[in-house]
Amino acid sequence: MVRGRGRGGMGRGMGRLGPFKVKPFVPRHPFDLALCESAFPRVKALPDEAAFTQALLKRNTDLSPSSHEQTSVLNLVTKIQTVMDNLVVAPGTFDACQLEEVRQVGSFKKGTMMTGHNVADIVVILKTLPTREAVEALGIKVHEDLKSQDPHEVLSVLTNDRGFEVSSSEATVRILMTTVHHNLRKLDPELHLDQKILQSHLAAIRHSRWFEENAHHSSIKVLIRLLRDLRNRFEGFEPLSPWMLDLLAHSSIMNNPSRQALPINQAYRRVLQLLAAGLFLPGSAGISDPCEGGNIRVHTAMSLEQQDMVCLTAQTLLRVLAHGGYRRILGLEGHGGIATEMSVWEGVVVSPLDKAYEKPPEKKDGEEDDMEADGGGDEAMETADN
Amino acid sequence: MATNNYFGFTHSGTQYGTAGAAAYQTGQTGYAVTPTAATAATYTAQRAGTGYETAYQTAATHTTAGTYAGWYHYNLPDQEETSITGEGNRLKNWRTDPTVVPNCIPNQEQVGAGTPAAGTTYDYGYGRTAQTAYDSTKTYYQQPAAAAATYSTTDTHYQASKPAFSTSTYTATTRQVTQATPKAASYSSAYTTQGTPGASYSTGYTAAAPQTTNTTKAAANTTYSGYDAALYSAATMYVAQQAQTGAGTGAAAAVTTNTGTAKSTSSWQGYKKGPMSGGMKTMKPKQPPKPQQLHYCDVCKISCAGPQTYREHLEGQKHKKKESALKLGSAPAARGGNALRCELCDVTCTGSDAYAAHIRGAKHQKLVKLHTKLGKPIPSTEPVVVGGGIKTTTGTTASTTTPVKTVTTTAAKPAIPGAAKKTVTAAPKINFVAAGSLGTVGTAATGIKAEIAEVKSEIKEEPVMSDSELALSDKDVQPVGQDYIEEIKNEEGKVISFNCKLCECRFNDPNAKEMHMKGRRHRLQYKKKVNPELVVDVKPSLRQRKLQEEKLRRQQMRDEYWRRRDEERMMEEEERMYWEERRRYEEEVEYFEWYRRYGRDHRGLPPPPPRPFGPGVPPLMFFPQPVRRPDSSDDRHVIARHAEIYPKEDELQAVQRIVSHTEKALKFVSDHLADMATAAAKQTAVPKPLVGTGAKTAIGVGAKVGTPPVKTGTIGKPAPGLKPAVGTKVVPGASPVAKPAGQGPVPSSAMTNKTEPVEKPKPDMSKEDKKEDGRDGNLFSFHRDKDDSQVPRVLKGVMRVGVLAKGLLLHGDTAVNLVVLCAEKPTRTLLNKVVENLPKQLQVVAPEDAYKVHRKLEESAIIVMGVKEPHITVTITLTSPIMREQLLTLEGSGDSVSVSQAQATKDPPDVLDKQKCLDALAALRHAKWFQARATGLQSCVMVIRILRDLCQRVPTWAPLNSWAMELLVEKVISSAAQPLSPGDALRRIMEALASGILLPGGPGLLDPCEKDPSDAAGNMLPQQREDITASAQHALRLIAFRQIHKVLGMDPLPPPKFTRGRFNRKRRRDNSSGEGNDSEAGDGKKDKKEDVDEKMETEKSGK
Repeated sequence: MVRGRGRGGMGRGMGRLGPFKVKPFVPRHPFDLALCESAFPRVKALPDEAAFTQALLKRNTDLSPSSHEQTSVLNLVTKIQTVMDNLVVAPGTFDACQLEEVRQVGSFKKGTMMTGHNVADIVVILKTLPTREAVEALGIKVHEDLKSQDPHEVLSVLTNDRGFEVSSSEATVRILMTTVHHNLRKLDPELHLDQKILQSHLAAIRHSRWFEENAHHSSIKVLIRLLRDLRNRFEGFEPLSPWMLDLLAHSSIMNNPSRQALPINQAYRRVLQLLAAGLFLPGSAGISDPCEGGNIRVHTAMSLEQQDMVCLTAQTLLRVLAHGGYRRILGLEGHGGIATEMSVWEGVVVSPLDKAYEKPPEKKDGEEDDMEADGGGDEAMETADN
Repeated sequence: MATNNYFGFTHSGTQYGTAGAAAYQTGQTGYAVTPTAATAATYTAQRAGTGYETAYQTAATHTTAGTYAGWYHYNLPDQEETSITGEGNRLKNWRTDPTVVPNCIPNQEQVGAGTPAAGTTYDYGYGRTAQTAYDSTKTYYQQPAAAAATYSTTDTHYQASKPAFSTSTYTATTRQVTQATPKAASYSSAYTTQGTPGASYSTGYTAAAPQTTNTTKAAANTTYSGYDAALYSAATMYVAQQAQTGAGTGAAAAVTTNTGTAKSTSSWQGYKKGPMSGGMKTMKPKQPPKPQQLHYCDVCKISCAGPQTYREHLEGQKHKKKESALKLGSAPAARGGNALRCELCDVTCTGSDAYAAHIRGAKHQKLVKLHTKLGKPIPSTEPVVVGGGIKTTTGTTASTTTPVKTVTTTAAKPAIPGAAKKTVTAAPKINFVAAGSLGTVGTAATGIKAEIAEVKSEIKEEPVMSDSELALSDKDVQPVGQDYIEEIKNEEGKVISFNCKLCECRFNDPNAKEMHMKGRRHRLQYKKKVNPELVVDVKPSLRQRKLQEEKLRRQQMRDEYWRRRDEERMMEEEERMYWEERRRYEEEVEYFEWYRRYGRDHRGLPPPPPRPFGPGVPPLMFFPQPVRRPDSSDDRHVIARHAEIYPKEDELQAVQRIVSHTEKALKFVSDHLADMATAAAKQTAVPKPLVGTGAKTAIGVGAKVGTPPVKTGTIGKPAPGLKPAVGTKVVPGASPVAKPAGQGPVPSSAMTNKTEPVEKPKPDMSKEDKKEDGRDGNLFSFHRDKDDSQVPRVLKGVMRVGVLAKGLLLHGDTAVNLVVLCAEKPTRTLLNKVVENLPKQLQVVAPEDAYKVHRKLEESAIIVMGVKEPHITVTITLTSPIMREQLLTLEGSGDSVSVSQAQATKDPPDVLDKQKCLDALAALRHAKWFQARATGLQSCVMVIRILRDLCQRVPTWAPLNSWAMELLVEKVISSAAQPLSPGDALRRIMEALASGILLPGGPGLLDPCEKDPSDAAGNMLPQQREDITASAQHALRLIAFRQIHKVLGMDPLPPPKFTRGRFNRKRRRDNSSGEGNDSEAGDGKKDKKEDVDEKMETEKSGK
């Protein structure tokens, strides 16, 4: 008995996760009030949330870029896009690399840009392999071409790990380099840009495409902006990536029984509720990435500690919100310490939470480390043994 | 030697007889020639007998081979193969007699030629023999045996030294024979042949002498001659045919296609000439003195120091490889790119530089020297360009060239008959000397030469062309990767060298840099590292190709392997799946079986598993069953914790006992009161009938009546259901006659599913169909089915409520509740009456148990307490549905007159506390609701118990009243899409709480048991809500991060050991720290200590 078990160990359990799972590890969607409202008929009428809604909208207006900002970014983007398009169509003498495609991505493209962050992203897909030299050469070429178009404009080109940045005095365009898909496995870390980065840029293209198709509702954009702001102001939300926020906003607005966009106040609260209910905790179904195959849950990109952090921040904020502290949460008044400090709301003391995650105490089998996979394996194995 | 041979012969002769026969058979399949082969075999033997040479024996062996040859002929009619056979022969010969380097085949031929009439035949036979010998060869049969044979010989020659020519000559001879003077012609030709091959000739000559012998022998051998004749004719025919086929056939013999044809034809002519002009027997070969022993391998283009080495070489791997490559025509394998080839050395160079280097090199020089020495032609140093499709042909041509020459030689020789022979004799073994000299000789030869020249020029032209092509393509190559060439400058900024970052090489010369950038290696690197689409022509050398093939083959093998493995795996998988399915199925069946067995009998009752209070044996062990596979770590913890908080067997028994006794006693009290009332009504003098007997009879009657259980499904029902019953009785002093009638229907419809109690002191646990107390959680009616009394009962029934009814009793719980429903509003008087009578009845019901009964007026309750440990208290509350009914009608309807009237009339002065009564009624409804909604829900009861424990354990959670908690759990679990395992269910509860369901602004918990919408948790303060939410939030994260044991207030369980049977689990819990493998034991202890702290922490944080 015991021997069989020992031999099986964790490894075997993992192995069992093959094509035939005895009991597959099915992550469960956490409790979501919006999805089971029928089970919770309201006893009292919904409290009036007009003020909250107004505050949200005001905050959104504050966060949106001014038209001047938008124009400046748009100008730069258009110029660069033109230069790039020319390079795609007629490379001419430029032979350091071959361009396959140029696409705009990111917040500018999605219309979720925030004021004071005048950065647009353009992904350049190379036909050739993205050597650093190629990136540099492309940067120089773009710079030259831009200069030749408008000799008066002061532009700076800065190469970095992801590509290069073209900045004018008012706006910045990040050129993110990547290469066609089948080149990815030919990469040599010594010569080329990091594969992870390249893949993330390819993903960015998919994301913006997905966004165009699915998340064009303006409530979503408003919510995304609010969430970005939230993320910027609360340290605990740092690990949430823009893509996670996009998905989160989309799902909290659109994913409800009626399939109609929820009002912004409900959606905003729902985001916090979902996070607080552990949407992004291990064992939760979370949100599976619509742009990746294989049902990848977006939150698994965060470490366990980060997941804990995000969750507890959301939990504290949710309680603050429930006691009427939305102005603090939105950053309309006071400072952002509410997530980490005790606060009093109408006589109710809201205290912050402690972390639940603990570093696995030097366990050699790493049981706690990969608790999710382990959980799955464990289950699969156990039932198999039965 | 002769003797030797002779012996050998005799021996082999016999053998050959058989062998020949064998060959024959095989041969028969297709060819007339075959018989010849057979004869040939015999022949060989004979000759050997002649004491020819050991060689013959070997030849004989070949004959055997000939048998094989039989097949081959038919298979592949191609003359080229002959060469192989010949080779084989030769080799064997060599084996026998190393000194005699040259071929035995020539010998054979000679022999054939030498023999007179019969001899000729033999010749053919021989030829055939040779063919037969060809075994390894395949081709050759297209043409008649003789010719073929010849050709084969030719081939042999090629290999050895260029003796090929002799063969061709031979063919010619044969033909001549057919045409004109048979013997002589053949002879001469034969000799010529021999003469030509130089080295072989010595042997050949030796052979010549024997030939005579041979002939003699042949003569002696009549059989043979007979054979011979037949053979001869056949042969002639063949030859004729051959002749017709003409040059073409000959060409085939010439190994290579294009050039070959031309040559052979020419040679043919030459031959014709040769034999004609040549004297017949002049050629009688003389043993060449001691020919210069230069062993030259034509295939490999090397010379060997001695015969020994030569032989070794010939048998060597390298040689054989080359040979076969040559034969397959693949020698100059198609090479990509612009390779330059040195024909002389058969070396392919990748570039002109390399070629130049090669030409200058020692190896090449050496070979040139050797060839000059041997008089072999030295191909021009002009490189042959090998490229794509052209290459092959060129290659062939190149290789063919030599044969052509040889042919010439041979042809030339016949032209000068005697002299030629002499030359031959004198000539060193190597033909080429002769060839050189012969160049000028015969006209035919010149013709051939011309042809050769043509061929050559062609060949040359080709190179030129491809050269230009090369140049062209060179120009096409665009230098790539300029960006990756670094210029390295010295201090003065002068470029001193270049560094290619792609290839990691440096050059000082800008030209070199240019070259490098165009170079293949660089391009490859560029392709690999920068632009994968760059076209770099592949240049698979022979070796590379082989490697590739090897790789492919391996790949294939691997694929095959994987495929097979996959198949196996699939099968395995399927099998496993099958078993797994089966196992599951069985499990399910088992479960349902169980369910059926235990569940069906009390259908209408709550499903079995969550009914801990059903039978006397509480289904503790079965409890986890409904959760089919409690699998995850969370599940295990929840289940283990649940087992901990679940009451022990004896506790359950004790509770069961006291409750059961109380219920029965209450029934007797009811009977007693009813009897009293009846008595009063009848105004009988006897105030008290014998209660005991009365009861007993009543029960006896009741036992017979098995009213089928009817389930009251809905929550709201109990109250309304009770109404009519009560309604009839509301009028206290009404006519007694009417009452029984009114009561009649009540039991079955309103007082749901009950059977009349059976009087038994010790309730039989397994029997459930007879209701003897209220253990099924439904109303235990005191009504007697055939109630003879005419007076309404005041106490209508008793029902368990609260934890007892819901099965939520926990370990250590001692307080349970019963509610007695009264027909009228309960009064203190009634309460007092019951309190007075109850002890007596308890005495009756359970004489051996002692109970204390006292009254709690302020609670409107009676308390029954067990005297023994554990002191279980049963709180009995009196209530009446009228209380609520009134309320409802008051609020709901407009006809207040009647209501107020009723109120005015009914309300006795000493009515018990109204709120208490209402609470009791609510408790009744809750119990009903619970049975309807919660008990059937997977994991629900278990989680409620866990949460009850949590509420008791952690003060933060205390404000959450149990009804609100039950409601919450039920709602949360039932709102999940799928049934949840206990661990998941608990987590979901925590998720719901964490998402702020209790927080102000949340939806609240609508109480389904109240008419007006009300929040079951409405009485909680905001701070309490906040605290519970915070605690739940923390708990949720603890669960998510695998610390559910902290939430549950228990020790972490060690990872499961093996299958957890139902009983296993308990045992593990009992000695959890001790069990487990050794390595964990230490950890376990440590963990335990930590956990205690952690537990305390959680509790604290809970506050």
